[in-house]
Amino acid sequence: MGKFVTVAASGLDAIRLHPLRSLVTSGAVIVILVPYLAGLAVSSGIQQEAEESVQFGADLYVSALEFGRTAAVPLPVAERVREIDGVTDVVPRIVGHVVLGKDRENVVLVGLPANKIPPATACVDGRLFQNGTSNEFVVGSELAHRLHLKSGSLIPPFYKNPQGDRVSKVVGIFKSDVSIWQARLMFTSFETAAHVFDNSGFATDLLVYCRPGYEVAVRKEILRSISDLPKPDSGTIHLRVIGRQDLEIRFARALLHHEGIFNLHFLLVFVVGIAVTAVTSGIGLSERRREIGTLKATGWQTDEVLLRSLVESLVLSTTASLVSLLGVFVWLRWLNGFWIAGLFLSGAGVVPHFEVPYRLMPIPVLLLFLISLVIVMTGTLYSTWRAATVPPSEAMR
Amino acid sequence: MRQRTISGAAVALPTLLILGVLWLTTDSDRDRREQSREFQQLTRGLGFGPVLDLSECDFSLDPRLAAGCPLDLGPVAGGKCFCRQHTFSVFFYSEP
Repeated sequence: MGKFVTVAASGLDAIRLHPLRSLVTSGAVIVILVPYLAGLAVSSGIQQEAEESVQFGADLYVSALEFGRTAAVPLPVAERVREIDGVTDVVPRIVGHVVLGKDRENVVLVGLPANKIPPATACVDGRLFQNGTSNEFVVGSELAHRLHLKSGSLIPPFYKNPQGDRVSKVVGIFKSDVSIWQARLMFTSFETAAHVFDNSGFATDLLVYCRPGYEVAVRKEILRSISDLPKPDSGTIHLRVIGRQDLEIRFARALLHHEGIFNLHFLLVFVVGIAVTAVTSGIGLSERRREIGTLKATGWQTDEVLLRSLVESLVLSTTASLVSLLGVFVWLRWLNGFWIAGLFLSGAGVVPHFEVPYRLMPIPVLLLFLISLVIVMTGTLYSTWRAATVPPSEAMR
Repeated sequence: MRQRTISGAAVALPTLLILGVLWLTTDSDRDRREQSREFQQLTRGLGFGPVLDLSECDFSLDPRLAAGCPLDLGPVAGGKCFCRQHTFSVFFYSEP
């Protein structure tokens, strides 16, 4: 036991013996692991917010399909859906894209009937908009920063409408820590949104609320009875219904990331990491080969040399994992994902003006330790084994 | 003496490590989650993917808004990778 500990402790000496090599190996692993863990942490944070989006959203989302793509739903459809047994409420919603400002900032414009939203909310600094075409908006934190908007700011006409373009007023700003999807949002009344898009009588989707247990039946009834609507001019409008379960199924798939290039990219990076560690651990470091040759010449067995190398790898990979974990924590919590959030969240700037969501879950953290160990050990043990299995005279040459 | 120090370190370091990891991975964002719920109740469910606007791919923002990625040229070799919001997505979800 004593000999075992002594040999294992010599692994720590090996780290001190080649400080530059230890630094380079740990550094290479940290450079690989930090963006990977940051990506996984942001992914988990997004998933948590997406789960809330599904949980607190409507039971069914009804939209129209034309040429296989999503289209606007005529508002009379809402009345027909409301008549279906099991439906408790139907809320029309407009979600559209506009650009604002001289830098043409992309904005998501959402319109909901003012009587369907609470009179006050804690997630907005300021107040919510009034009913009707008052052209009052609540804007997202990222948008407010980029366009220098605050409560009370006026926005010059940014749309074309034959009934006249109007000056809009900002009445509230979403708090930066509310959700990532508030960042570029303009939230207003349904009538104002319809006026901005000059498209009254339509909604982009109908949000259907059902009595518990009626979701499947209501969905079937919508698709059976009002799936194919005759258009005013010619042709038909087909309806598309998305339920809560359809979205929940996607969470399981999202976790696997199988089809994402994110994982493929990092798989290649891990392979490069193993090659780098192999070079720094013996294949490219003749001094280390000579050291192993000397150990063998003084009576060390191959398994002892490998144990020494194993402890060295374990300490290096644990240190690299720990530093990576702390680095990701600092980067995402205290630096709010400065620069790196822009890589993972399309639409975020170098300095995000919203709180970047992240979760450091135990499984990704364990995966981090495992990957780190595999990278360092594969690179180190192979080169050590090669040097330890040749005659000492050849290794020392 | 040295062996005892090493043994102590061998126990203390992983213990500290595990405690640190547990501390870092503990969910401490309860306030944020409550505000996020309020936001979702206000907008009635908006947002799903790692995208903040509708400039390129509605599907990447929210699959409820679009039937699929508009840049998905499926039959073309690598056609699914033309959408930059899908190509390096950290939160991949497939089309129905």
